Amino acid sequence: MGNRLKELREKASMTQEDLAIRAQVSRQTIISLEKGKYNPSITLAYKLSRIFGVSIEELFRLKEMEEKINE
Amino acid sequence: MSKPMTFIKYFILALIGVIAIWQIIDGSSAFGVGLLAGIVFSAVALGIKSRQLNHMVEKGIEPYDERVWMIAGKASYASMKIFAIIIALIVLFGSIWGPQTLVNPYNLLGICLACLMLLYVGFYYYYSRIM
Repeated sequence: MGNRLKELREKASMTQEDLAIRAQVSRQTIISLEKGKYNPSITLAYKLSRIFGVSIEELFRLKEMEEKINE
Repeated sequence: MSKPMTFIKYFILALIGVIAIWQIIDGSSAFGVGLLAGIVFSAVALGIKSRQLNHMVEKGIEPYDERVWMIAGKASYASMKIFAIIIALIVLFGSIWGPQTLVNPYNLLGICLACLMLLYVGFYYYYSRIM
């Protein structure tokens, strides 16, 4: 699954640690999420979307959807 | 880590320490010294880990979040599966071709436990790299 986490975090001038504290997860989880290595639970996805004030669909995208959009 | 949990862990280590000293006095110095070395190593590792965890909690970071639980679950399942397969193969081939030997059951259980723990640590490291 692809995501815009890094983009939105940088836009909000937040560090990975700031985001980890706000989302109540470890910094390693934020790193893994940004690298696309880890897919979050629906609860964490909801928390993150609330932090950035966007919908879950705007924050996370399926890889196939991303490829279609890029085409 | 909660305070009662930390206390219980250090209490168990102290109890094993008493057993180790008793074993040294009783004549099993190799076993006693080995046990004592293990206790010192565990106590140091426990101290470092709890200090790191406290530091994270003070910052407001959740040390045991959903990713950690997922990695732990996957590592447990993988290590149990591999362990069961290896044991089954040893039992199968050992029963057919292996020599008939007498073993100390406590040593055997200790080796099995160590192997299982090593597998778990290995898989935990592997999954934390890929997740």
